Amino acid sequence: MNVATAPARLGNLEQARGGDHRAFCVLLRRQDERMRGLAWKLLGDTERMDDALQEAYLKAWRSIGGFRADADFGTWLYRITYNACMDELRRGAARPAPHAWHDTADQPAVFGSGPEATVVASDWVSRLLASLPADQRAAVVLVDGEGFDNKAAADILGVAVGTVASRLSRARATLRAGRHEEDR
Amino acid sequence: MNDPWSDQTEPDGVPDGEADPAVTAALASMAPPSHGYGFWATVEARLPPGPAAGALPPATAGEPPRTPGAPPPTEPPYPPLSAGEPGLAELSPAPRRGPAGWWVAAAVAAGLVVVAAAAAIIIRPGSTAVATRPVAADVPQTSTTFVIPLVTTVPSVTTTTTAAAPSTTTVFPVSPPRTTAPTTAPARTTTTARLASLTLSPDGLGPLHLGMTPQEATATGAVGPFQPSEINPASGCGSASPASAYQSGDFSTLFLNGRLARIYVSAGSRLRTPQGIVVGTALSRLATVPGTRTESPEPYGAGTNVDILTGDTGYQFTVENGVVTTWSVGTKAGLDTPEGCA
Repeated sequence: MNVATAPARLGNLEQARGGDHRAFCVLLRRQDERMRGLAWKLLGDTERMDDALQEAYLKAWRSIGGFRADADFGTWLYRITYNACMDELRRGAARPAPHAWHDTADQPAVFGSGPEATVVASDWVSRLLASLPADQRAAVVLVDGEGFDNKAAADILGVAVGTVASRLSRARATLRAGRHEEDR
Repeated sequence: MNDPWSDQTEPDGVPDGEADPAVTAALASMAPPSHGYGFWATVEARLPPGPAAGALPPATAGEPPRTPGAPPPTEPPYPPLSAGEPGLAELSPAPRRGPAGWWVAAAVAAGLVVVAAAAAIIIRPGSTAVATRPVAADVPQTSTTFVIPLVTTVPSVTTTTTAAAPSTTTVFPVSPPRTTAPTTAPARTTTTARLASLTLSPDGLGPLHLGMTPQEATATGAVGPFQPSEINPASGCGSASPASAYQSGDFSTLFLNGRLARIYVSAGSRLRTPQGIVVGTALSRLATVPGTRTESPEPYGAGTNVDILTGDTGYQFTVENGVVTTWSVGTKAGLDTPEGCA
């Protein structure tokens, strides 16, 4: 499945390239939920999600002058966000419990349609995501979670399409095995 | 790697290597939390002025991908600004000033005015030659080698090119004095000619006119090469802005059907309308702009868009809190394209 990212408004984009903070923030806010989705699934912690996104957005601002207007702003921002999340994971490698989706008291992860499904899904998906290596987690989040096809995910991750397929296959196998374990 | 699930048929019927629908559904519906308190305020506060001290590679090249396990990189090596490209950027060696910078400059200017006034009082009639010598003669390099941003309200700054300029002209060092010799007359003429093109109207920006192709726009030599590769060959839509234009913060462009349809002006630009409208001008002054005026809500942000058209071209001013925050000139089609090429 290929999900097109929300197209950037060229007016705001061009104004942002010209140094307009306000226009840049309009662009960010239009993409923010998607970026939060990626960062949240990769990091699993609200504070770290915010830290990574702040860094990502600042990097995007610094490099917006080189952004080509015929490219997709959302995909470009995904890539910067992904790199910022990887940096955050490395910086926080020594932190305990790096993935705590289910520990977010104020806004728990939302799954399924019913209360029971929500609780159950958040438990096992959180645990399983946390068990994946970061590169596999990123692949499965982008493709199975965000709806990108392998090619788009490869562009964001900066790897070959075959590499994405390989990581995806392993991640899916791990998740499936984990789900069967949860069902027992 | 030894994959225990390879070459097996899953009991749930999902082919090996395919996504597990249950996992996919759970992931897809995994809503992220909102930001913590103050996130956006922090982001906006941390945004440095100006978009980029330089430009990263194009989005298709993007930020260099990193592999998990690799050490965090240092800041990417930004290339120099518009290297080798002529354009408006070369007219503005002075770094952009934030509000604090302008206060400092204003304070320096005020100090100079006071000193000059005191000197005029103290100097006796017999030494008027000293008193009437333009200050600009002492600091000639500051009077011709920079461009005062048009948002400034210090009118006397630009008067120093005339020999008759009084000693009280506020010739403060807006940019660090250059180490080169004082500017010669030919260079001054060139600069003046380029400055004249900073008036932007529906008639264009100097020799640059609406309706031109990127190649034609480049051929004017007004602001440096446009980027036809940025225009979608199928739709004819794209930016193609010269790097010097948006890196200097002066303007950016929109091409529709391969023709220049809109020129955007944002905060920090030195461009002005013939009536002197700049970013920061009060709404009431838009009455001085001729044309048919219509107003509509800004579709993607706060404020109101004030369109003032004469025929098929005109202005669009975005006004917030009674002040112009951005403006454009363009064809009617260009001004009516808030989504750009999206």
